[in-house]
Amino acid sequence: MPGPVARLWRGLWRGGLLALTLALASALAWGLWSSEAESANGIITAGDLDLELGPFSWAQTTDSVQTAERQTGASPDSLADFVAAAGDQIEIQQEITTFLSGDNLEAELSLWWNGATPSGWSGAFQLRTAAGELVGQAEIGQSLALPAWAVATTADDSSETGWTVQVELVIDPPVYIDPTNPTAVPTADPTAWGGLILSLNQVRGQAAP
Amino acid sequence: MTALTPRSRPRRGAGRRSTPVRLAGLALGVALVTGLAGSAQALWSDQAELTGQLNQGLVGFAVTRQDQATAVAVEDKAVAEQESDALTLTLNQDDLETLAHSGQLAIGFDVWLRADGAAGLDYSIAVPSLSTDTITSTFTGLIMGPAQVNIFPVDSPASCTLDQRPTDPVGLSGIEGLPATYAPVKTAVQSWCLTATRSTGGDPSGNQSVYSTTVSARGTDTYGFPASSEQTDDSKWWVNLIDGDIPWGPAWQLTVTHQLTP
Repeated sequence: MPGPVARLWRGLWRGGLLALTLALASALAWGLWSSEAESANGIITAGDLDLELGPFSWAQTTDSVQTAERQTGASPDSLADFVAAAGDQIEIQQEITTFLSGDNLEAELSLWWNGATPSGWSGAFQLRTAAGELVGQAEIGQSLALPAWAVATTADDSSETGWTVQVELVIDPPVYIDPTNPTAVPTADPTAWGGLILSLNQVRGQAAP
Repeated sequence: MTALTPRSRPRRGAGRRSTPVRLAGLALGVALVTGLAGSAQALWSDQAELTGQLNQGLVGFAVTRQDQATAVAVEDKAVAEQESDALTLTLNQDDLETLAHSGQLAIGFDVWLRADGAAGLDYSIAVPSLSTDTITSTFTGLIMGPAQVNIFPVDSPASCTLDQRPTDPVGLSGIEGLPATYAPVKTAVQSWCLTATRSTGGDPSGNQSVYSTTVSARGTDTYGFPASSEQTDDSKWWVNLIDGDIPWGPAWQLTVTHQLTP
């Protein structure tokens, strides 16, 4: 009879085999999403989906701030240096290129906060063609489907498209501290938030017309 | 699935692989799974960080009595937590007694300001208005009702004295604390002086009364007959300026409010 140690190792070995099998089945399922194969032994399709960032710019568009005094910048770093006040409106322009290649590869763009949603802030984004035509708009945290002409439909198809993502942020409310204490930390909210994450994800179903 | 089953399943009792070999096999299996899942997912999702950190500036508004810069303990401090907060600077009993006895009072206070970014900050100082009832029937009213109050800016609370009073009254509404022009951090401390003076004698209206040197009193004696008295060399006079039972009344306090601009 095998000892307790031997039984333990046998259990681990069988458990590893089960995990391997389940995980491989799961991986195959992922692959099927981009192909029309019906067989459980279907081949993983070599699709591709890519998102590249182009030029970036931002501008303070606050109505109550005179145009000549509005702050602007052309890099994420300069935006990080900017200090927004309650009531500020900020517009971000990010040019992107999407690349879709594969069989029936449809995708959507989503924009979300990297971390917790800043309390009181609101924002939305628009997707425009390189020519500036509005494709769609959504709140931050939601998604926009790429139109049908920008997706890949057959195995040999590919689509490379330039876009502009335009983000509008409204900063509110003010964050108070005790001004008599130079090292005071705001009690209500953090005053620095992680940035915005733009994500391109494959979706199933009919692309937007 | 069949192809993935180990071809040489260890038999019980003989030919078993050593523990290190099994460990390596398990590790290889995990690595294989991880690699498959990772490459499959990478193909159908891509993301990029659009911006770096985003910052919101701070706002601060506070009123302190005395001068922190000279390390004098702050006797009174009020800090706003939102724009609608009204801060108050209250005269305490010692203040009122100082004014009652000496006829004058001077208190310095600081207004602390912070408004980062494009925000500006204005503020206003309001002096309480006392009702007739308060003036005639409360300690606070009797002292402050007839007092002449002045509020004006000074270099520091320490330089708050009666002789600094300006000839013309200073506007106390919509005082610009910080301009609404962009700067990453904007702070300021503005010092003010509150003075009050009053006559040490006379009626609550503040007018000096003229007293005669003779006095008589008339009334009804305990038998119901009219009675009167006249001043003699043995007469003694005293007066209760303020009845011991008089209520303290409402606190006399400046109210300081602020507005973010533009």
